[in-house]
Amino acid sequence: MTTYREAIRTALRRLLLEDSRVFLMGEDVGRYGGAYAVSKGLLDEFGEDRIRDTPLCESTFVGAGIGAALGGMRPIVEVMTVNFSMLALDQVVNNAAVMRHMSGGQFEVPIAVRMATGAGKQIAAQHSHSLENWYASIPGIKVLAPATVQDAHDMLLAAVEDPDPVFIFEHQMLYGIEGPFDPNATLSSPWKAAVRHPGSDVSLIAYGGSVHKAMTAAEELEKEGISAEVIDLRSLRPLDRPAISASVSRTHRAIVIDEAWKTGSLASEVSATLAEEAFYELDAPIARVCTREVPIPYAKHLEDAALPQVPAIVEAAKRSVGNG
Amino acid sequence: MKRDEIRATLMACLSDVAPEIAEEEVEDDVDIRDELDLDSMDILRWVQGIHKALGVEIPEEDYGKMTSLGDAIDYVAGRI
Amino acid sequence: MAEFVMPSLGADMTAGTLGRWLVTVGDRVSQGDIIAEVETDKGTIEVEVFTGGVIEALLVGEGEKVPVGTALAEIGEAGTALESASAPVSAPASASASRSRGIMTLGGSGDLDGPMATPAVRRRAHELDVPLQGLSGTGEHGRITREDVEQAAVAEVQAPSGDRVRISPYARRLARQRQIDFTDVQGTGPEGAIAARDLEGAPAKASAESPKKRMQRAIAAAMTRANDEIPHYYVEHAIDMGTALEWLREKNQSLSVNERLVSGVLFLRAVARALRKHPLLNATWQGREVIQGDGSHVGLAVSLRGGGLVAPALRDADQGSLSELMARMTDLVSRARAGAMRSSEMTSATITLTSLGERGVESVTPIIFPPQVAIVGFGAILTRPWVVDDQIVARPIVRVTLGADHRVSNGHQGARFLVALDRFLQEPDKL
Repeated sequence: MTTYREAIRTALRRLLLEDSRVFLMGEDVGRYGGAYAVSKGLLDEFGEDRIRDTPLCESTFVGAGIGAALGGMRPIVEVMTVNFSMLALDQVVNNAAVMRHMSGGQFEVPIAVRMATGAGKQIAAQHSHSLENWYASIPGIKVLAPATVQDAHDMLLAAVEDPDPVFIFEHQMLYGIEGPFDPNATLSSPWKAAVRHPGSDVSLIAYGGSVHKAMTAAEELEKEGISAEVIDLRSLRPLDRPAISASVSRTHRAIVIDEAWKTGSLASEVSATLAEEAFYELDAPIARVCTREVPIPYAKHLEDAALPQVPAIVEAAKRSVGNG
Repeated sequence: MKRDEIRATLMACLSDVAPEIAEEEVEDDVDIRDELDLDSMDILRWVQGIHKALGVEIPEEDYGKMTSLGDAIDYVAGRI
Repeated sequence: MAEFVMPSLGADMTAGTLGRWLVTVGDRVSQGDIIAEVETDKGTIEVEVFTGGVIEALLVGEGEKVPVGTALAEIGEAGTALESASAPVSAPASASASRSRGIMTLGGSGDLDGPMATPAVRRRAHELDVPLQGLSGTGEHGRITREDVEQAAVAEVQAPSGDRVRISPYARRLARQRQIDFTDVQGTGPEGAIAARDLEGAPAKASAESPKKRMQRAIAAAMTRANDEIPHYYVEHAIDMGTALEWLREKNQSLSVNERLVSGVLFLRAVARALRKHPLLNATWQGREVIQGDGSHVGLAVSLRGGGLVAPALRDADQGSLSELMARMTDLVSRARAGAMRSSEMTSATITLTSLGERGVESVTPIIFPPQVAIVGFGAILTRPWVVDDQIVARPIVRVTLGADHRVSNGHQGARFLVALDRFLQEPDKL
């Protein structure tokens, strides 16, 4: 068993060892070992050239990463949280995402950007939001959300290998989780959704941190005789629409769990996809379990109340299955 | 007039009265009133049709000689 | 100005589909003209107009289903109407506001309220059972194209509108695939919606089937109602047909083959005459009251080969010569079998005549066709021992059974009716 954090570090080390073009850059990634201690020890092993602490200026170091990628490097940029990445959005939207398109395919931007997302650690509204769906709406980049220890490792390898900008959203509550991990496992395609728990009565569609809540909900539903299928979306862009429709074609009911605000969320996109592509498979209205539309509160009980929780998922699934 | 020509004419007249009857289901030796569910008005219209097509006059008392298609062909053949 | 409304073509009819207009705006019509075809569960019925004049507007499009009593067309007096018909551009704007349904001029003269479509497209819409009202046209100036109609037909199949039963899309799709009627299914899904599992054990769908099945349902509804509501009483009488058949035989010998009569026409005429004498059997029962019949209109039960039963009326069956009646009866029966009956023939009868003697049975105990109040059944004319002047002789005998509505008449009157019928048949030359 390995932690999510160690799995990412394992991938980082492997990339740094195997490819001299790879370097890690971000706030506090060097001396401090990263805000979530992912890169702890790497500065000593690989030196300042390859583990680079940056000023507190997201626009600058994301832009520098894009420039390095254009110049033939394979930069891995860590942004502390998705909230802070807003400062770099101009670099993302107006440079990273459009370069291949505007150069007629002459330039590619093989950058991998990692950042923490999500709430649950009482670090309040400026460090806790889930804005990955904003990135998932941008053509020209790819967006991954590893939910498991193995995916945390594998997806980073895939992101660096990919010729286009790939954004990896690591839920801050996952860094400490332990799970099965094989550093030499054959890499599965990161762009496909996965069935984490097969079931026949209702599909619980989630990604990132919410996958674990969906798994717990599925276990509770099992006790009540309801067989829930948990779908881990894994890739938010491109979205594995066929897998979503296929699951609902098996279960005919869908609950979409998303830690973002409901309005314009990825859950909305999944719901719309189901309405468009699997309407005649739906035996109950689609339900979304999302975060209350408030800035994430600091107080523990308020934070808990704002976020999607297992009982809400269970309740939504039971309502969907009906009283039969 | 050959027998099969008479048969064809009689069948055509029958189809005018009862278009839903398929020719292949009419056998020569069955009671057509029974088998084809024809009533006296149907028979009258059939007789009228035969009269028009072949000029054969069939008096009412001879209806009994035309219970099957085969009988009717014989009867008409003898009167042309 | 008069309105031409969706007629009630039977007591159980609540709505009908306007199948086809046989007139256009500006046409002059006279009382009795057939101006439209209406599709009902019993088949396509030609509908007559009861007011003469000029068609000023057609208010309901072909293929549209509307409740009984809905105005279908406006008929103006001759002279005033032609004016508006010849100036279609100025007419609609103000007139349309008061009308709930769009006006449609078949001429396609640019009436903005109604759908614009060429006759070929209308025909296609009719074939596919797609109402043009409500379709948005993609053609020039919003004209409805053939593609629009065909797409609407496909959409209809994929996502039927119809009833607003709360049912999940998946369950609706399953119900369609398995031909399940979910209208009475109790839903157990969210908010009481019908979910797929609720379809287990639901009945097979009865609608959207063949006209034959539709007719069967219509008959079933009428007969169930008759059996549930009408307190029937029966009287039976055996009638000596010797005189009548002898007269008929002689008469037919003198007639050309095209003028020959059948015994059924004697029955028909005798019933019509007896009906004149017994007004309590010449009526309809409309919920709470008796409505007297306005003539001597006798329904003829016509069984359709291959199943089905219709009973169109032969109006004024007591009028005209027997030869004329014979011709009208032949015409009516063949039209009934071809499914081309007229509206007045579907509603005006007060009594029905059913004859199963041709099929060999001795007597029939028939059920009244509501809202009529009586029905007469004839058995086969069979040679039976009969006492005439204290001697037993062989005579052709027919058993006649009258079934009547005890709310309207009683056995005494029923018996008198049958005796009157007998008397008429004993004097065939006076029929």
